[in-house]
Amino acid sequence: MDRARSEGMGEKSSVRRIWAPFRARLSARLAAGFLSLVGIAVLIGPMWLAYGYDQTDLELGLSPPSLMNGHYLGTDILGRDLLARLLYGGRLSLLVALIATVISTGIGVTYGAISGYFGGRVDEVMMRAVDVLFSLPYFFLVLVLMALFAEPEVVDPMIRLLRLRPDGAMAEWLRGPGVRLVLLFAALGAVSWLTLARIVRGQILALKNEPFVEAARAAGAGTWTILFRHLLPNASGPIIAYTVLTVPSVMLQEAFISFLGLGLQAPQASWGALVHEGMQAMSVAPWLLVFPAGIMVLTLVCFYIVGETLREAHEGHP
Amino acid sequence: MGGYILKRILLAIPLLWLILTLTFFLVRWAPGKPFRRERAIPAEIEAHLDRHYGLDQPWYVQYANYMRGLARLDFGPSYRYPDATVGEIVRQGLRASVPIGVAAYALALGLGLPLGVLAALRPQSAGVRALMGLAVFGVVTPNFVLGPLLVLLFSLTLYWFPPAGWGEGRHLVLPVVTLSAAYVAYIARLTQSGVQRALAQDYVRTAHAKGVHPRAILLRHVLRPALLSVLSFTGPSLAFLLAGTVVIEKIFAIPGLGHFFVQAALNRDYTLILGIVSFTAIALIVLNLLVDIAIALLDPRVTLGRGG
Repeated sequence: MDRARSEGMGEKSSVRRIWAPFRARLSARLAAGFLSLVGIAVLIGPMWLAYGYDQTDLELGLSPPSLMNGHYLGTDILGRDLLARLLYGGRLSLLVALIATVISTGIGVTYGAISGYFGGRVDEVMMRAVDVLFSLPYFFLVLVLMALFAEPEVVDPMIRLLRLRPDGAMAEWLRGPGVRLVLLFAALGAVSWLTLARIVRGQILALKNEPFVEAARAAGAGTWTILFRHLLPNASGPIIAYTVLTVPSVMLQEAFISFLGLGLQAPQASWGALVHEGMQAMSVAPWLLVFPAGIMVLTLVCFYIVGETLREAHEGHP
Repeated sequence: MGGYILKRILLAIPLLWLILTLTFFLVRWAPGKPFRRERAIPAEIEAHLDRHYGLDQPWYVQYANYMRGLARLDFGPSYRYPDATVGEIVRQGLRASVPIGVAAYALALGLGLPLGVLAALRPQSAGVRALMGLAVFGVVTPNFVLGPLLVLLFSLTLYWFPPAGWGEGRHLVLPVVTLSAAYVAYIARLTQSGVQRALAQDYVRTAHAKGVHPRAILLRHVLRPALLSVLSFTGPSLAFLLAGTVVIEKIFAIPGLGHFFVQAALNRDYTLILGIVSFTAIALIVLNLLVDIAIALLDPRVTLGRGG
């Protein structure tokens, strides 16, 4: 809370600061533009579509892209419109990527800040733990989680915590398709914070002996106030850069999981699941592979370019 | 040096215990029971199955039994393939996964290192810049996108390589290329920045000033630190490589460890899941230990304790 408020205070200047590196680089502007387009398209695009993502039409199964029948990107084997599936799939892919990134940023920033600020033995132990976690087969653990824990009773504690009515629509949804979504948020958020923790720790370590920290302490500010209102806002540049870089990596992992058939269940399909469907039909209907693969790779590349641009602006080297 | 290695080995043991215990309880706490899935089975048969696999005992007895088995590298029986032990399945999977993984990593080093050095030494060359631009795509193109596209091009259009299968040398080509592409790109970029950093150092200028042959400078003063940064990426990359084989084996229908793992996860074959995760954890920790020791041997600065 505190942090958000203090960032809001310098809002105008920080917006300008973030935009500055984009001025110098056409590819970064193009990437940011493309991402905005994708975001708008998946948010409001489905409103103008004549077809739902799960609407089948067996007579038009596997029809190639065409302007005549309204299936601009063709249909899959059940006659479902590929454009509609791409837009809904994009919603799911981006939703998972963004929420898991927010979770992982929260964990990473808090962890790194504590480690860097307290230093000494605390720092030693906490960073050792990060080193260790870096080389764990956590991807396998995520797969285990997705395979074994996608059961309705898993979300019961969450339903109680949020005080939802057990028979309400929200609880129903959570127990059904929601379980896998919640598991994806939690699992991917829980494993993606390591790099950010290291970065934040380094920043705090470099900043904590600056005069303004001493001034804050002299003015009677407590440990947490210093950390969250004075130190972290000063490290916001690298934090934003690495948060943006986390988005594509989370998206990629979600796509991996969906590709393996352990993600969201049909008829819901994120981009990874669409690529998998496309792979199975690629010899007869190559468009089913080419469009999902293309849009996903382009989105990933654009996130990567934007993130790298922000990162280089702060670190001053490629 | 000996002390450092001993310390790392002593650190690896509790870590191994931690991850095995974590996995054991993760699998044990999963909702549902191993034999109460799609088909309802009579209670007596389920009780008999539970007794046979020791599932009727309290958790600490099961845990102790499992740990005792692991100490002898015995992963127990598979629930879904009653005529094979988990150890046998893991061994069979490794026969396919290890050649692919080793070949992919060798290819990544063999292509990525020279490319990175070239990119650092000839930053103006258009060809090198185009290759490094391609490397950005290489880093972010997921292997499950690249794999099918390669199959579409080289198997279904040009008929050069088989689209899937296992057993002959030509079956290896597409999976290895698919798996290694991202690492070629990543290692090239790591090497490039490592070499660039080293070239800017004072000791390189000193060596030039006193007339050391440029090739000797490159080999002795520039490549060594650059290699270190590549080597320290080995740990995480092994983890990703392992995860990558899961996808590759699905695309190319290869009966490897990753294939068995996904099958086990979909079948809820608890012991097989546990066995494969335990095995990969052990393999990763041992390999990381070896990498750390190699770094310590190469880098005189690390000997006193922790690395950068």
